[in-house]
Amino acid sequence: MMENSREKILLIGSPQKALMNPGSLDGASVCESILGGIEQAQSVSFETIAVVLSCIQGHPREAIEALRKSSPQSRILLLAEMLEEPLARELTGHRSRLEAVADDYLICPVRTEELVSVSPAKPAAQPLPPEREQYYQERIRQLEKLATEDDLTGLKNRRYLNQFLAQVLALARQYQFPVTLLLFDIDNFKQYNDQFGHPVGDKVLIEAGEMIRRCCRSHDVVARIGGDEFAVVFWDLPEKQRAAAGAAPVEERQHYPARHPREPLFMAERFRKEISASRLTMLGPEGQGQLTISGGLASFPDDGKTSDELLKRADEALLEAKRQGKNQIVIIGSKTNAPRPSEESVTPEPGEPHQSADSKKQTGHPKRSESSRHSPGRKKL
Amino acid sequence: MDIPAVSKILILDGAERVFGPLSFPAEWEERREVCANLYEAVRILSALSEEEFVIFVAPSRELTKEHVSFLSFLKRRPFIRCIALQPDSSVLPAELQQAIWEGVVLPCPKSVPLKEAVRWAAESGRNNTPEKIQNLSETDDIRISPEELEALFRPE
Repeated sequence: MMENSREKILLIGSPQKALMNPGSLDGASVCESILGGIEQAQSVSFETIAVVLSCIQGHPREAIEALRKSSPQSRILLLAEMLEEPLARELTGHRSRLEAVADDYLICPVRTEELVSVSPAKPAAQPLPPEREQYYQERIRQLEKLATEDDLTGLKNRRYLNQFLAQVLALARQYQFPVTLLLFDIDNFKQYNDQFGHPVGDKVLIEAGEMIRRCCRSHDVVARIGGDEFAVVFWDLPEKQRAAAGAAPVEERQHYPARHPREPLFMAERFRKEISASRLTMLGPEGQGQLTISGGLASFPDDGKTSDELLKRADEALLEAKRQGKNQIVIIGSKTNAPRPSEESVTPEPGEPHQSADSKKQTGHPKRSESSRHSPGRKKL
Repeated sequence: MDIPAVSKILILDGAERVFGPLSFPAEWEERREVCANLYEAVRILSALSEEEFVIFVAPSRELTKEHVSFLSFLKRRPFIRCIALQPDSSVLPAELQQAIWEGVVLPCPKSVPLKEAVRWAAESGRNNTPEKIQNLSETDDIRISPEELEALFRPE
């Protein structure tokens, strides 16, 4: 039975996890569990219901759907951790194949004011004109975008990558799923800038960013972390998110770890082949086949347990790719000299050179010291 | 077999998949409702008044998804009898085992017909006894009185 009173905010989940300033939740109702939240929403009307996604133990879509039915007039705002963003996007209808069940999402921790600012309710004392409120909300979104995205390519930026990697590794340690990091850069990128000018160099970067995005799964995080340096975090979805996304059944999950780093390797190789075969008209009539990349892969838990270790190991593999003549992906070896079972070579397709003649001729402008230690366990692929 | 006190028998969808077709006497059918999942069940159960006596039937595996908060929910609503279907002897979380022991959740193994379990749930109250549905067919009362229990631990 719905009471007449209408409260402003119901927070479902831990305030400590959701908010930067959990002490400032004056006047809001808090419910630690999703079931308690559904129960409460059934009896009290709220303007905004904010749900910490990680508090849902079962199926997130089912939970939010039930919450929506409990309180159809409320605005449902999801509070997701970075690695839950693909799920949050899906639940808010950013993918067309599944219906939206929530109105919006924010990456937590958030400030309490943000919960209020996305609420359709206006303060009684100082009501804002609708266009002004819309303007503020738009500004908040722009600032969020600036803080996490690279404005040239639209990919995530280095700050986002570092935070995401730390979060996904913490979860991977807890749930034992694999994470693989790919670092790559465009071979001899400086030459393109010098020869064709910086606007063309920028277009090359945008094109490369779009290609790698197409070659990866939607939940893999692709970031531009420097001038022509990119990173991709390939990760396996935890069970509840796989279920929500309608992904492979739970039974198959047991086999999934075996695919790392092999599956990311194939994705990286696909990207390398695509970019080296791409027809980049901005590079002139001979643009096709000129653009090549070199990359290095390192996987959790075999090659590193922390984000610093993984970044270091992937960088070592990238250097090895450069050292071996560029236009290739190298996977870092295990600590022993013997190659791991997952380090099987990927046989180049018939007619495709493993290393282009052009790339051998190019002298390049190495940006890094190539004096790092010899690593016999590395495997050229 | 009439159970006038029961106003609703709520069954979690999927119970029949693990337990086989659940057949009820005709007079129960109109009180029967199927819900899609545990969240939906809580939404439906929350909307009921305390005058309504409800039996909720769900596979125990479904209950384990949010079992801690679901048990809190059940404890706040003593008019709900919850039957946990156990198709096998898989180990349940400790909190759920405790709830079964306390009589908050009634376990129903595959060997017991569900309508029998529903009847039993309707007739018995939550009396905080460790009685199980498995004991339905047994004529002997195996409950131990507080005196007997104390005697068991008393040194000779």
